[in-house]
Amino acid sequence: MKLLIVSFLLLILNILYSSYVKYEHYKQAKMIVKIKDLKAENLELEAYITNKINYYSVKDFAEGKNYQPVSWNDITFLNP
Amino acid sequence: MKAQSLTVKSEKKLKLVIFLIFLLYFLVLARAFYIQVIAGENYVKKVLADFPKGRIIKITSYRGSILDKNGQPLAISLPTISIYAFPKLIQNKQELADKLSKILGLPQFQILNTLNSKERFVWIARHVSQSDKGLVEQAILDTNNSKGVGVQSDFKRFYPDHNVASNLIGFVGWDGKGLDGMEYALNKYLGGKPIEVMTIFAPKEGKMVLKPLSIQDTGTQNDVYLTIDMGVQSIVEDIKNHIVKEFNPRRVAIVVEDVRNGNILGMATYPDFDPNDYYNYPQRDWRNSAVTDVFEPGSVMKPFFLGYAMAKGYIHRGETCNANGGRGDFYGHIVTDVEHNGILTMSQILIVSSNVCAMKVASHLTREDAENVVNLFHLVKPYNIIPGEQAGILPNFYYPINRMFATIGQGIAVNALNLANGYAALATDNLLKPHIIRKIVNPLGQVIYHEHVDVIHKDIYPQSTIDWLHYALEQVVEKGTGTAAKSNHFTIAGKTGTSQIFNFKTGHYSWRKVVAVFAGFFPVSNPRFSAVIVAYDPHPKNGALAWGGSVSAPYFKELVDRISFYYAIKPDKVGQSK
Repeated sequence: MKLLIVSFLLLILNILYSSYVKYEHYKQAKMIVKIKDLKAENLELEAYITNKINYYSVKDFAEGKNYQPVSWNDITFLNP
Repeated sequence: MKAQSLTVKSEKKLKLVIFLIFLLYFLVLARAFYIQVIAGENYVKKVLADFPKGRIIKITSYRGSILDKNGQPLAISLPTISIYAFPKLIQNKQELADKLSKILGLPQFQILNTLNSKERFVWIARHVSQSDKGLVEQAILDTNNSKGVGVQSDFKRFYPDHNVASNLIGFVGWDGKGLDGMEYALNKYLGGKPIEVMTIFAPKEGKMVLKPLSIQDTGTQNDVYLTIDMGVQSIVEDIKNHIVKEFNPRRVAIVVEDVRNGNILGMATYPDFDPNDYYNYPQRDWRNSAVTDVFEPGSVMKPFFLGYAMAKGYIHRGETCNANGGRGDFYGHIVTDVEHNGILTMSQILIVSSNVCAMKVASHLTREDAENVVNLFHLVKPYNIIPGEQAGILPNFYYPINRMFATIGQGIAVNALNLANGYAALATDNLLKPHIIRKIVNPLGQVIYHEHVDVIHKDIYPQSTIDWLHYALEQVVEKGTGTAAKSNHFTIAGKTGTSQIFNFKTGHYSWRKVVAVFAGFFPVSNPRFSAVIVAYDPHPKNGALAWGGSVSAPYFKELVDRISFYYAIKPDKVGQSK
C-alpha cells in the first residue's frame, strides 16, 4: 500500500514537473519568437533610417538647400 | 591432458566468433551512424534528385553586418519575404496574377508566365518587403490558393550607401553568399549560409516541408567593423566624382591611410557600381582598381630610391648633380626632364623632378640595393588583405638601365594601396601592415578580433635621411612640381608622378595617354595620414597634356584640407594667407 501511495505521489510530481517544464518551454519559445520579431523590426528600422539618411540623400538635401561647402582657401587662421 | 587442450581451443574459437559478431554489429552501427548523421544530407539530396515529387529549396539566412569604424552600416541583412508556388495546384491564375501584380509592382504577364510554368516549384517573387506580407497572404486566401502558393521569410542584403565604397565592399549573390570584395573575403565571419529545406510535393495537401536539411549556424554571424571611416570615405568619394567630372579618366583610385596604425580610412575607385543592383553593371565596374590594377608610377618612386642612396652614403645632402640641360644619354636611351635643368642639389632633384639626375644617382645602386628598396617598402608584393590584390611588376634588376628606369618609376608597376603604404613608411620610417578590418564582434557582443599595429620593417632609413626626405618632399609641394597641392593650412610632403601608358598596339609609350599620380603624407610636422590619388588616362578639357601636378595634385590639396579639418587637426601653417 505504501509503495502504491509513493508511486502515485511520484506520478503526480512527475506530471506537475512536466507541466512546469512545458510551461517554461512555451514561455521560452514565445520569447525567442519575440526576440526574432524585434530583431527583424530593428533591422527593418535600421534599413529604413540608413535609406533615408545616406551619402546621396544627405548630399541631395544639402544641394537642395543651396548649401555651399566651406572653401578652405578663403579662410586664414591667425596666430593666437 | 588432450581433452583440456581441446577445451582451451574451443574457448578460443568461441571468443573469436563472439568478437567477430561484435565487430559485425559495430560495423553495422558505424555505417548507420555515418548514413544517418554524417552523410545524411547528401543521401537525402541523392534520393530527392530521383524523386519526382521532392524538391530542395534554398532560403537566404541572416548575415552579419559590415560597418565602418564608427559603427555606421555599410551592408546589412534586411528581413524580406519570397513568394513560391506549385504551378500545378494553382487556381484562378489570372486573378492571382492581377492581385500580386498590384501588390508587388511586378508586370502581370511576368507573374502569369511564372504561374503557367511547367516546373514543379517556382518562385513568383524573391526578397519582397515584409510590409507586403499581409496583403500577399490575403491575395492567396482570396484566390483560394493556400495549398499551391506560399510565403517564406528570408533575408536580403542591403547597401544603404549604394555606390559608396562599392568596389571595396563587394556584394552577395542570390543565395546570400559573398561573391566579391570584402563580402567575399568575410564569408567565414559574416555567415549567411543559405538554409536548405526539403519539400515534398503532395497534390492533395499542397506543400509539405519535412525538415530543414541545414540549420542556420548562429555562431558565425558576426558583425565586422572595417577601418573605413565614412567621413573620410565621403570626402574621397566627392573628390573622385570631381576628378571624373573634370577629366573624364578611364579609372580613378584614391587611398587614404592612417600612418600611425596602417588603418585604411578611405578607398574610392572609379568606375563604381551599386551593389544593390550589381547584375546591371558590367563586370569591369566591380573591380577595386586601387588593388587590382597596377600601373607604372612615374616620379613618385624617386623618394624611395634617392632616400636609399643617401642612407647608404652614395650621395650626400650638400652634393650637386648636373642635369645637362635636362637631357641625358643612358646606355643609348635618351632621357629628358620637363625643364632644362642645370646644376641641382639632391633636394632639387625631387623638387623639380629631374629624371636625368635621378638616373645618375641610381647608377650607384647595385642589383641588391634596388631589390632592397622594393622589399623595404613592400612595393610589389600583395598584402592579401583585400580580395583581388595584384602583385606589382619588377624589371630584371641585373641590368643597370632597369635599376635607373625603376628610380623614375618606369618598367616597374605597383598598385595604389602598396604605394600609399610606402608613403606612410616614408612618413614614419616604419613600414606597417595596412589593415582593413578593425574588429569582429560575435552575436553575443564579444570582440573576437581586434586589429593591432603590425610592424613589418622598423627604422628603415637613418633619421637624417628621413628628415631630408620630409624637407625635400615638402618643398616639392611648396615650390616644386606639386605646388597645386599646396595648402594654406597644413604642411604636405608629396610627389607628383606622370607616366605614359604603354600602347601594346604600336609597341610604344603614348604621349597623350598618361597615369597622373600624386602621393604624399600630411601634416609634415606630425605625420598622421598618407594618401594616393591615381587618375588613369585623364583628359583635360582644354586639350592640354595631363600631369600628376595638374590633375591629381589640386585634388590632393582638397583631400588634405577636408580630412584634416574633419579630424579637427590643428593647422601647422597658421598665419599664412592665400
